[in-house]
This record gives sequence, C-alpha cells and structure tokens, in this order.
Amino acid sequence: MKELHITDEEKAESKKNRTLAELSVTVWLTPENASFYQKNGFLYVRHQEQDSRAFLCRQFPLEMLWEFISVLDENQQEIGIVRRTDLFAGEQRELLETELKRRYFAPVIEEIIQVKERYGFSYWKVRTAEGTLNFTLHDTFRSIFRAQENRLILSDVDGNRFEIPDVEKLDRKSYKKIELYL
Amino acid sequence: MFEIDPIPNSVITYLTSKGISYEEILLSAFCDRDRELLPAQVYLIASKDTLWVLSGVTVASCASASKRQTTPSFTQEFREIFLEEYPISELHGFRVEELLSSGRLIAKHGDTKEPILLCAFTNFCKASVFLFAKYAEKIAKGEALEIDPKDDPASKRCPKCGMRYPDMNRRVCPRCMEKGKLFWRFFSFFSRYRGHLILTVLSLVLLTAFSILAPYLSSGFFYDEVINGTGEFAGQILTVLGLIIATRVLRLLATILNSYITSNVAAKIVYDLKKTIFTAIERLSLGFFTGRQTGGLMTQVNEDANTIYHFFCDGLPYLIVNLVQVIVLVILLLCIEPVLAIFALIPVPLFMLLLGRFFRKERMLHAKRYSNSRRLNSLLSDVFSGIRVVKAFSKEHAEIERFSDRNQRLAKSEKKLALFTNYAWPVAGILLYLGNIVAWGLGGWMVMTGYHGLTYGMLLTFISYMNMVFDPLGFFTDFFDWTADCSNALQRMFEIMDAQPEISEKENPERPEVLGGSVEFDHVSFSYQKGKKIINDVSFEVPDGKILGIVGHTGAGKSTLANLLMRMYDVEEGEIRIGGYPIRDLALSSIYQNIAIVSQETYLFMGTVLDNIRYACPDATFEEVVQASKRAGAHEFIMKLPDAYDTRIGFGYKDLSGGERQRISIARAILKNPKILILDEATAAMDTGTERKIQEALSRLIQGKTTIMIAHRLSTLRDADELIVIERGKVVERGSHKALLAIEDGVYKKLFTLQDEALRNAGIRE
Repeated sequence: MKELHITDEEKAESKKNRTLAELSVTVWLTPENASFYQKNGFLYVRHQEQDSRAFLCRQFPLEMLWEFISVLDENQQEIGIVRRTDLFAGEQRELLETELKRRYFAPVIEEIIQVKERYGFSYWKVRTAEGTLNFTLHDTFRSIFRAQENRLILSDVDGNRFEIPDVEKLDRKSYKKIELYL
Repeated sequence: MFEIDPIPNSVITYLTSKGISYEEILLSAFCDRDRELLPAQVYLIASKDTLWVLSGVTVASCASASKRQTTPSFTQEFREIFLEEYPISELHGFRVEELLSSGRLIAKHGDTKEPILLCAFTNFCKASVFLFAKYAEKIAKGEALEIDPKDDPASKRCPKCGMRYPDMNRRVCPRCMEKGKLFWRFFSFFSRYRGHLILTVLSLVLLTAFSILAPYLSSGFFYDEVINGTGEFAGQILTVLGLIIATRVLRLLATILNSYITSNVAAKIVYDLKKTIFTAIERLSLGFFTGRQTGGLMTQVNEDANTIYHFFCDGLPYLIVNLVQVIVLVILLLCIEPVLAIFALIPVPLFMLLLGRFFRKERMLHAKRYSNSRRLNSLLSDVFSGIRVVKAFSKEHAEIERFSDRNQRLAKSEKKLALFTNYAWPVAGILLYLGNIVAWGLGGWMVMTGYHGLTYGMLLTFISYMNMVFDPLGFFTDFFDWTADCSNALQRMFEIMDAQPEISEKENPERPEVLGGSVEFDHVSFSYQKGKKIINDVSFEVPDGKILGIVGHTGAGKSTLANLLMRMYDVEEGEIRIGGYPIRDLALSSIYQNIAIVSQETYLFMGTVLDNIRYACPDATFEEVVQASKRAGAHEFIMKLPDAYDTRIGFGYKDLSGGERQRISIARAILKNPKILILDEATAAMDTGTERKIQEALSRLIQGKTTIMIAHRLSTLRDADELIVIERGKVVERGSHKALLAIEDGVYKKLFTLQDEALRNAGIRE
C-alpha cells in the first residue's frame, strides 16, 4: 500500500485553485481508475495516484440506495462519483456498501409499541431488529417524512433517524398508532 | 472528576480488576455503538496519563434460591469485549465527525497525520461525546480540568426524575410538569377579571336554576297540580301559564346577561393574553428566534391566546355549572323515584365510553382533513407564487394534475368525516334513547300500578330531567382533551414568559454619554452549534473613524462578526470592545444607539415611506427625513411615488425594487447617525448601475464613521483602510488592498484576480 504523499494543507490548497471549468467536469469513479480500502477503521480511496479519506454521499438518498454515490474528500470536495456500487466487485463493493449503511444508519421500526403525545412532543417506544428503542419527536407531523409512497423516515429531537420501509406492512395496532400523523 | 455519563458499578468493579482505580479517573462518557456501529456499551475513560476505550456488555447473573436465601438474587457483571489504552499526552486533535444519525470520535496519535477511530455513537450520545472531545483535548495538553458550568450534564436532565429534557431549549420535563401549578399560576393571572368571572358563574347558576324549574312547571306541576283537577292550583291555568312564561323570560334574561358579560370580558382577556405573549417574545434574544419558525410563533401568539381564553371563559364555567346541574338533577331523579332512576341511568357509563371512542375517531378524521387541506393550500400558494415559472416551462397540466390529486384526497377525507358524523352521533343517541325507553316502560308501569305513588306528572318531570342529564355528557367526554390542549398552550406561554434572554445586561451597566467609535475583537471565538466553531480566535481593531473591510467566501463567518458586534449573540471566548468598553459591560441601548447596520436583507415594515425612514428616530423632523433621503439618493424616486413620503409600502401596497428598498434603509441609517456603521453585503443583490448609485449613497453615509464593510465584490472595498480575509472563521490575511495584492499566492489576491477576470469577461470594467 502506497503511503499518503500529500499533506492536508496541500490538498486544501489544490482545491482552492480549482476553476469553475474543472468543477463542472464529472469524474466517474470506476474499478479502473479508483480503488477503495480501509485503514484504521476509515474508508480511503486511491484515485489518480492520490490517496485520501473517502466520505460517501448518496446523491439521491430517497430514490437510489446504491447508485450515484458522491465520493468526497476530507475537505468535502468531490473526488468523483460512483455510478453504481455493483460496478465494484467483492471486497470493494462491500466496503462501499458498509460505509453507506453507516452514514445513512437508521434503525428499521418493526413494531410501534407505544406513542404518547404530551405538550407538543410525542414519546415513542418501538421494536427494531436491535431491540426496543425509545425516542422523542418534536412537532410529530413535521418529524415524519414520507420518503416514498409508503416509506417513512422519522427524525427525533437528537437528529436520529428511524425508518419504516413500508408503513402498510406494519401490523394493525402499530399502523393505528402512526396513522394519525400521516 | 467530570462524569459526563455516570459509570455503573459493574464497570467500576471491572476497571478495578484491571488495576484502574476509580479515583484516578478524570473524565468519562458513554457511547452506544462500537466502531462498526453495532450496539455495544462503550465507555470512554480518561485519567491524567491514559485514555481507555472499553467496550463490552453488562449481563445479569442470577444466583438461584438456596436454603439460606429464599429469593433468587441478581448481580450485574460487565464483560469486556475489548479494552484499549492510549497514552493521552500522545493524542491530539480530538474531533467528532458527524454522519447523519451517528458520528465518530477521532483523534490523531503522535506525529501521524492519519486519524484513529476511538468510537462510534448514535446521536443519542452525541452531546456527551462532544463534551468528551472538548475536555480530553485539555487533558492531553496537560491543562487543568476546569468544567464550564454550561457543560454540567445535570443541567440537561430533570432534577426530579432524571429524564433528559427532550428539547434543550425548553428544559421542561413533560413527565414532571405540574399541571396543578400551571393552572393555579394562570388563575392568578386571571384574578384581575375575578369580578367578571364571578358574574359569569352567577349568571350561569341562574340560567341552570331556571332551566331546572322550567320542565317541572310545564310538565309534572302542570299535569299534577293544574290539569288533574285535584291539585292546589286546579283550574288556575292562566296563573300557572304566567309562571311558566315568567320562568322562560327570566331564563332568557339570564342568557342575555351571561352573553353580555362574556362578550365584554372576552376581548379584554384575549387582548391581554396576546400582549403578554408578544411582550415576552419580543424581549428574548435573536438565538430564540433562529431556532423557530415565524409561523410557529404567530400560531403561538394567536391560537394559544384563543385556546386559553376559550378554556377559562367558556369551558371552565360551563364545566362547573354542568357538573352542579348534573349532580342536582341526579339527586332530584333519585328523589322522584330511586328504582326508576337507577335503571334509566344504566346506559350513561356505556354512552360515555362510546362517546370517548367516537371523539377520538372524529378527532383523527378532523386531523386528516386538516392535514389534506393544508397540503392543498400549500400547493396553491406555491403554484401562484411561482406562476411565471409554471408558465415558462408550460407545466400547467402537471400542476393541474397535482392539484386534482390533492383536491381528491381532501374531498375523500371530508366525505369520511361527514359520513362518520352523520352515523356515529345518531348511533350514540340510540343508547341514550334506551334510557328513555326504560323510563317510559318502567315508569309507565309504575304509574299504572301506583308504585311508590309515582304520578304521570312526576314521570314527565323525571324524563325531562333525565334528558337534561344526558345533554352535557358529550361535553364532559371532550373536556379532558380540552384540558390537555389548554395546559399545552399555558405551558408554552409560561415557558416564553419565564425564558431568560441569552443576552442580558449586567447589573448597573455602563451608559457612557459619548461612546467612542473604535472597535476591537480580542481573540473572539463563537459557535451556533456545539463543536462547530464559526468564529475561531479572531482578533482585529478598527480605530475611530476608520474603515475595515471583511472579505471571505460564503459561510466563512463574516456576518456572524457583525452579529457579535451588535451583541445579538454573546461570544464564547475572548472579548469585543466598543470605544474601549467591553460590550458585556455596556447597556444594550448604548450599543444599539451607536451602531447601525445596512444589510443585503432590507426589511421595510408595513406603513408609509416616512414611517420606515423614521423607524429608528421617530422624533426626526420632516427636514431631517428629507435631508437623509437626499443623502441616501432616495429622495428622487420617493418623489415619483404617488403619495411621495406618505406612500404606503409593504404587503398589499406599493412594491419597491431592491435598490429602492436599500436606499430607504440607508436613509434610515443616515438619520440614526451612528458612531459605527456595518455594511453587510449592502450592494450584493444589485445590478451594476444600481450598485454605483448605492455606493455613492454609502460613501456619503460612512464619512467620519467607523465602518465595517462586509462584501464579496472586492472592488467595493478599495477605500477600506484595512482589510481582513476570513476563512473558516479565522483571519488568514490582513492589510491594505495594496499590501494584500502584494502577497504572492495570497487568498485575497486570488479572489481579486478571479473577480476581475470574471468582470472583464462580462464586459464590465471596474
């Protein structure tokens, strides 16, 4: 593995010097021009002989989970775009998808056990694959976001996100509890 | 020691077994995830020399009951998954990397440039980890661990039940909030209307008394004592009719009296409530407003006042009177015929239960209808505001479809609601009708058999009273929700009334008669959000009467500097001085009187041009207003307006262009004649022609004043005595225009060259 050979300052400097013309060019990252690897628990990308930490961002997080992935460096400047994660094979694809899951971490709600509304806040007790969770929503109507027709995202007061992939598939009791806010 | 999150006993026992004593721990925090973001119990622990990251699980082990011990005992044991340790002095650059719902704590080790991952967490633990990063950095640097009182985790939890406040800005524990105290406090607010309220209750008592008397006179009494021919008033139909009419008239008078008192006091109470809430909101600092939507505040002022008023003026007196009425009526029913009363009232609890369910369902349908209507209205307002874009892209059909879809949803929810109300209430009514049937059947039998001497007249009275018992049942069922709504509104109102403005004057602040115009920023740091420094150790000074230009990219923190100077927010570190006085020592009025701001966002209030120019100096003479307008270059266009200085502007009236609005705001600033002037991107949204005119006006305005000019168009800053370049909250370059241009590879030089080229390409010569 080649060692990092440019300093943060140099990188930041090179970004500042980018012209509008350079910024408007879309760089597609493919297995041929980019490789991803993990080091110290962080994702790195090597592109054009340069290594840098990689931050992944879905360009259309509500529409596509594994497509149009923007790869940003530490200064939040775009290195390039991964068109589809499955263009990368084996370990590389797994690395990308694991990192995306981490970034867009949102426990899936399987059952709504209890919802209590008090003074503008609602207190939720839900069951997820990881066990029972309690969280609080402020202004419940605004905190439940319909990502797609039946897919819901709930955002709590701390900024945690929870997902209901298909609200119609919730059991009747759970559905009754959330129905009022839809 | 600073325990951000308490370390459980099981973990302390474990640490002791590893030779780490509790006494040596200086800092600890809890994270709920391991590095792979899987659920785990991770403890971050720091001593003077070492940082430990301990991950594991707590298991409960059970010792079964024995001969000696009759009940099984449970003990908690912490089982390690991993324990890592780092010499803390070798760590630096502790930083929290925020993802969406989660984050990571990272640090750098020794001289390596690459970070190491210490732990991951969900946002439940975010605040703790931010604090840990802050204080771990201090320990790593060998600094003394002085805890900022604002960071005390105890202040973030309810002292009574220990629950974390759901909203740190409100610090209200929904579990422990005492409704009783809330209502009691409000009653004291209402005490000034006690005369009116007593009269209201009295009129309602009169109303109830006549309501109870009327059915007795017209049914039982009329039949048994008049028509029957055997009663005391036999044959005196006219007298009794007169009595019945008199009762009705008195009842009508009581109703009129009640309406008169209520309408009289209503307007006063709503006015007072709105004024109280508005005054409380107005005195709060800017920080309060940035976290809230204007719409929400408007709702708070308007709807909360109405909710509270209706509860106390309609709901509560009605409840008291109805409660008394129901109790009296039930006693009367039991007196008339106890057996009949018991049988006839059997459906009441059932009815209440059913009614409760119906109300819940109806509320849900109402909420859905409301939500659909809101969606439709927002679409309408969206489309009409952007009608030019809709037409330009010929999207009329798409918008009509969108409208139809939402319209249909609204129609459906309205239909559901109408259907429900049409069938649900008659169904509930049947249950009550059952009570009537029982009364008629059983009562009829009792009259025929002469059971307990029940007469037909008494039966009629009985049935009238029974129906009167049924009438307020619906109100009682709904009253609980009404109470909840009102306590919510009350809680919001008191919360605002009790909120302490973040910016407050110190006791006996300085009010210098003449305040110098010099400005100094001394190692100032500030962040809107914990951990994200917007201004980082910024220092500069502007001598009296000089011009300082502030340059930087969007989001670099330029406008924040202006807000800090105006003391809209307080600095976290460092000090700002005006005329040599620290701004924390100055009275707020002294600051505001001496500073004026002209920014890109000009806000003109509804009113005349004259009102708007005179906003800061209401006593300015007409001559002064005209003079200020002339200097601002506004007089010319004002005179072209239909009513000149008396032209009404604002929503629904004359609309002014951006340049015109800006010139009015400059006139406003000229009239104020401040010592210090802040020009925050004052010409940013102007075309070049308008910008030139505004520049001219501004150059007249800044003469002799300390001026801080914030601009992204660098050519406008050429006249500045000194320029500072801000990047990511730090001052990276400083000097005159010429000096900065002389710096090879300087940020300012690059920005200037780029802008100059762009203007040349656009055919504009500066």
